[in-house]
Amino acid sequence: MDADSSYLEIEMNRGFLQLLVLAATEQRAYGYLMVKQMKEIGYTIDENTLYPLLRRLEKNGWVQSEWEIHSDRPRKFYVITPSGKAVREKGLAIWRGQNAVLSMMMEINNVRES
Amino acid sequence: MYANLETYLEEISHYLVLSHGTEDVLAEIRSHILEKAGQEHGVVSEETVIKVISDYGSPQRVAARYMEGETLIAPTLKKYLLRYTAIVFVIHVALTLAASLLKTSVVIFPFLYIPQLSSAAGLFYLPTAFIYDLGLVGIFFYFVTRQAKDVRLPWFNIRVRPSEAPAVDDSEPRLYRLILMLAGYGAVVWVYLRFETLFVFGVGPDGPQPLFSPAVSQWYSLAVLALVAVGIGGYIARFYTRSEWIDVATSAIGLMIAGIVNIYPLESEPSRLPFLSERTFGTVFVLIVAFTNALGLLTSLFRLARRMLASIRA
Repeated sequence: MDADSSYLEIEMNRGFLQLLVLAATEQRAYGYLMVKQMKEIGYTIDENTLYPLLRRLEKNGWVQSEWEIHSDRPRKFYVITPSGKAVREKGLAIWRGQNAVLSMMMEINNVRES
Repeated sequence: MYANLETYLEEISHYLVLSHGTEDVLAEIRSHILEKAGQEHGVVSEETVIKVISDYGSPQRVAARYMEGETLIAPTLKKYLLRYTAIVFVIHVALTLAASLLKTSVVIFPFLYIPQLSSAAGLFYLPTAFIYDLGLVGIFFYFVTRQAKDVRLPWFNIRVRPSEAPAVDDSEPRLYRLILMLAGYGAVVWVYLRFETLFVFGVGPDGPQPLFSPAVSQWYSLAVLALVAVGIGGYIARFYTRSEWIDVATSAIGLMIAGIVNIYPLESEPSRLPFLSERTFGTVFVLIVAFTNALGLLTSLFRLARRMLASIRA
């Protein structure tokens, strides 16, 4: 990936990753499980991105966490909160709106994807 | 317990600056690494843990991701930082001058202590004062940022006219000038190597003779050589950058050299010139070097601050 693509991806990921994680925490899940789930659907998330993001979402009160011991191994489970769900709804509405605007703009200007 | 994992986490903790929850973050990273080692390599061992750690990233990078968006000083306060530092520095200079003229010390506990200083020592003190003021104001704004509230600070409206003259001498550095400088420097070094001093006097059958005693001659000659070398170094740096910081750095180093030279104890030994004792020469030398470099430093800092403020206002 060249520098421009990398920069663009970072910029576009800002809101997208929050929505993705808010969707991934609909069911209780721990970090490694989320990484695996995302990989299965073709998206690779850096652990170094996921955990700090989860921490920020928790700080905002959008997810809550709880440590549990499974097979002698501690795991930190996350689940979305009601305010997290409200944020997710708003985020999805914005995302759909932006998609629609972008599609119309491309249509008006006759932009074709190569 | 996996020694490599604990060392890795320990190193992350050195870089991680969080108001709370550091242990929780480290516990989660530990959990993830052990989970991944077990799931993806079939067994949790020192070897598989090392493999997972190498994928996870350097401790510095890991810690940095947790602190993204956190700043020591809020971007909105950066104009204030410069402005407040300028104001505090002006007060500091005034107090230093007062302490020097009144031959007394000034104490504003616990923020300020200006000892009783001679005029020359007062000049050496100014760069330290500026750095101290910048740090002090920086700490103040750090705490303001930590408050995370919309604090309204007084805005001192310093009128700044955008400089019409170029900020630094805009004449391009010329190679021929540099060659001349280096040639001149070479000649001076030759004189020093030939006579073990630059301060020689008299021409005649005995040839030039040192003006002062050998130790004093050598000490001041080395000071002159160092000052000229700093000047040439600054000129060479201009071939690469036109930053005003070059002027700041060369003046500051010049001032430091004057400070070091000032340490040398001088007796009232006569020189070969009847009207010039070693002590008089040393005092005049230090005062001239200190004054010109202090003036140069303050002028450069003023130019720099004015340019920054003008660009902020633009």
